Amino acid sequence: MSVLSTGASALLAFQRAMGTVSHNVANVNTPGYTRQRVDLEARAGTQTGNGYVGSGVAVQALQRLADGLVFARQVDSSGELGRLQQLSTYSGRLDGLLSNPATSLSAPWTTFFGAAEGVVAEPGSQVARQAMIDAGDQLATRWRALDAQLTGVGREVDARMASQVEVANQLATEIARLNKDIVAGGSTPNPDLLDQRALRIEKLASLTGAEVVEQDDGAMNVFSGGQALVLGTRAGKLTLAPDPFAPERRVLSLDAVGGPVKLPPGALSGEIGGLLEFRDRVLEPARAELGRMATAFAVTFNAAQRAGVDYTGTAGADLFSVPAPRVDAHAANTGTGTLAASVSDVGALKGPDITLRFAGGTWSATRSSTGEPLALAGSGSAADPLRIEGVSLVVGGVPANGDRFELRPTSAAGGGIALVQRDPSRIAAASPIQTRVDAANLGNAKAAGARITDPAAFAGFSGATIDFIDATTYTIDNGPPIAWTPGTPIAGTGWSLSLDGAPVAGDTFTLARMPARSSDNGNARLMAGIDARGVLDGGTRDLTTGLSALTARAGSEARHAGMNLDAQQAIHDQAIADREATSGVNLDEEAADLLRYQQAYQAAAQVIATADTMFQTLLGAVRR
Amino acid sequence: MRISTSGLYQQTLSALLAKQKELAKTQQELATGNKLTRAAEDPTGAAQAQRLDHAIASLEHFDRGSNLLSNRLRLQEAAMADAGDYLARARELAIQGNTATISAEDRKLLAIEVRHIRSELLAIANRDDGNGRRLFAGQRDGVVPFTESAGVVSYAGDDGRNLVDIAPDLALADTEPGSEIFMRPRTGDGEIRASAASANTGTGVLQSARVADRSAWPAEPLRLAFTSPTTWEMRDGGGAVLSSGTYAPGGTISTQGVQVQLSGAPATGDAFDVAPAPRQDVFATLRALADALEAPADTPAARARLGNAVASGLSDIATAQEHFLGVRASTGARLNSLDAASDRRAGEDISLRASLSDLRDVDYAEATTRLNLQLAAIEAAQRTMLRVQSSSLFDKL
Repeated sequence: MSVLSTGASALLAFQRAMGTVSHNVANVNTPGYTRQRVDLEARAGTQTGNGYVGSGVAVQALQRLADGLVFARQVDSSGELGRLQQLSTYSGRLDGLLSNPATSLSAPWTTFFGAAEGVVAEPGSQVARQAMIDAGDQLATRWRALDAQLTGVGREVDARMASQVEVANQLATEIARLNKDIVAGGSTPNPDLLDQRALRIEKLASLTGAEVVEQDDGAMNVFSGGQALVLGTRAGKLTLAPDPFAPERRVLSLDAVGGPVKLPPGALSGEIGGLLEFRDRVLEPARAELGRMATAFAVTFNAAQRAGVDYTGTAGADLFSVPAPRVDAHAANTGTGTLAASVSDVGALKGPDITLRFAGGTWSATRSSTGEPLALAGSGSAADPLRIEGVSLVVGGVPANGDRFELRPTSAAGGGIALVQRDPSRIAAASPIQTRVDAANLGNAKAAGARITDPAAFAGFSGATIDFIDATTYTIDNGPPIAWTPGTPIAGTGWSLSLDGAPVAGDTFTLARMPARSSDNGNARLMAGIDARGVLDGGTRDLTTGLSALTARAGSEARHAGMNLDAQQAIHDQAIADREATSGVNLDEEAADLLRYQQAYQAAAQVIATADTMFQTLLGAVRR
Repeated sequence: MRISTSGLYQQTLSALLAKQKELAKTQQELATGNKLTRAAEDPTGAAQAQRLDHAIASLEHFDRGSNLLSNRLRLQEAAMADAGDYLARARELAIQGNTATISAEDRKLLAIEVRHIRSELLAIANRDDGNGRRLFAGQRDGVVPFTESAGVVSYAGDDGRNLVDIAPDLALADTEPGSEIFMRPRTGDGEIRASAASANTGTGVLQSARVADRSAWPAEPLRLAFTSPTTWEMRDGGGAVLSSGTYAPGGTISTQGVQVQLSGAPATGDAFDVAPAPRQDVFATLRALADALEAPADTPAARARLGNAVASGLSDIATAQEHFLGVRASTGARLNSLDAASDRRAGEDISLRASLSDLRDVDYAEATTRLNLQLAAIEAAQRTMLRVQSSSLFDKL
């Protein structure tokens, strides 16, 4: 009865095949689904006298059409894609904040210096002075608002990172569990379990970046940043721990399968790696740079303000306040040492964090992000403070050997800059020296401009008289005669004065401190020129350029992240296309298979009918 | 290569989405006219655009300072013109007062007019700029710069003069301090001034005094003393005789590099002082003239005093007039510079705006063409998607 059993085997095989086709059709839209195929095999025949007669068909295997190499590529590109997506999204946010005129500094910056020009034009006008105070307030407010926006982005990144870490840990646990089930399945694992595991591995890769290594028993090990996240049936755990320098900041560490590991920067890829990279390489430097501009602006402007005399006739006081550089002690410090930091040289000031270490009785400094050693001068006493990159540090208490501190020179400045002087008459628009030309002078020399050359020496100034003995010789306060060359300034103790025109013998010029209610604009002109004065980077760059460079840098980060994302997207699309080429369900193909198996099934049914007819024929013959 | 159904769908969909993204960007460019809304699109361009914006805004602020300065300088020029006119009138009055035929009453009327001119000048010196600032108080705020007390005008301002920025790296001086204009003009001919001693009893009248030989002129006060009506001695400040000579009425005395021309007959003991022209405020000059015109001229000596006073007043006024003219000329020069600076600013503004426009402004023709192309591409993608997705073998089963 081989015909009947052959037909029956075909019916069963094609039923199974059609079941697989319909499983494929049913999962055409299932993410991560890998198409399956029934491999048919002819059943070994039975030997007859005439040789072997076939005995039908059997399902040899249910094949899951996946390619391990393509999968590895896909996992790899998912991690990179995830990293670049986060980097690009958040860099774009930062770029938007810095380039949008509604949130950027450029508009209030320009307005402030416009208002300062207004004071130059009308130094005595309370309206012009009030406008400058208001513009200064707006500038400081915008500075703080921008910093708050950046801090907000940072908080969002931290929160997102925390939730991604949760998801990644969940995925790692699930992969370990699936590994267990798959290993238990032996040599014929459930293909749908394999799909689920592959899907989770890909998701995990998109969060942390991953490398996969398959074990002989079918378990899949997942490594990230060189550390095992999943090893067989065990899963590691990512944690966000407080930074030992600043508890409000979080650092990522891994309880790897082999034990806890601190993850170096750049170890992770994927979305979490992208978020970390954005925070450490884009956001924090941008905030530090914003703070550096704030510090440079406030310090330079205050210095200019102190060099002048305000409308009440008193020496100018600080107009802006800006927080001092921040120093955090390491949580594990055992000494009582503290460091008090202040900005000593705006031109040398840099943004990035610095780690200071006290060891063997001496201090050393390294760049926090790279570990590169930095030159450190001074001993740390109040008279000879530690000096590094424009910051002076005075050591208080007794540091213990091995104590560490982190110096964040400018990070806090942008969020803390404030206008502290709201009285318009306190703008020190006037130069501190008034020159009086004696009424009886016969020469036509006029004072063209007096300025302070040394504020410390000038502090004791109470007045001076310049007498010309003859046309080329003068004395200061009846001191020794000094030769005068036209065009060369006359220099006194802490001040200098230029004369226009030619003095003659007997001419006298009297210098005094500028009295109240002066509409002199000498100092206001210096203030209004601060936007174009080279104060950054050793005096090579002005603040307007510095601010535009900040925008350019954020824009450039966003641009590169965007371009890399586009490139990675293309690579990823290719990996996906390759996966789909092998593993994706094509409905037309399935329709054709369905048709094929259906026809074969019908034919097999016909074989059974024929066998039945044969049987009936035989029965009929016997009955007669 | 095998294509999966969802792969095909994804492929066409992502192509469509990418095209829509481009379309949205073009549309935003067209709607805002700005192709640099994000620095990411051109980081260096965006930085440059930010600096250009700042530079253009600064130019506008220069406009304001420049207008204020222009207003003050024009007012200074007008004030100098008015003051010059008054001084010209005072000169005419002095000449009238010095004619022999004029009666004492008429001279009094002339004196009244001179005093009137003086008070007008005082008013000019105290003018303000319409914004509440005095024109001629130097850098002092809140004072009336010129006040008169017991016939003496004193100056309460200071000698400072602001520089106002009117273009990048160009600053112009504000109005002159009042001390420079009104309080310190030179007298005499601007170099030397001769005056008759008040105790003179003769009829000697100074006609002129000038430096003929600068190398011989010691530039110190000297006294020409008559030891008799026909002999003179030139003495220095300590009384030492430097030179001596004889004098004939109407003759010129040349000594120590100075030429002094006298008329009339000086008496023994009469003296004439010759000195480097001192500075004297213009109000004092006018007051001296008025006082001289009011003084009686009934004796030959008194007439000589009048003649001397008027002659000296005349030359003082002429020098002050020249001084005012000089200030006016320099004001005019500064106003010219202001105009030139304004042109320069306009030129810079145009070139800065052109650069900014190149960086930032959308080329509408190009963007519109791009929009049309993108629309066509999207439509094609949509159509092909429909066609491709609509054909399935299952439909034919």
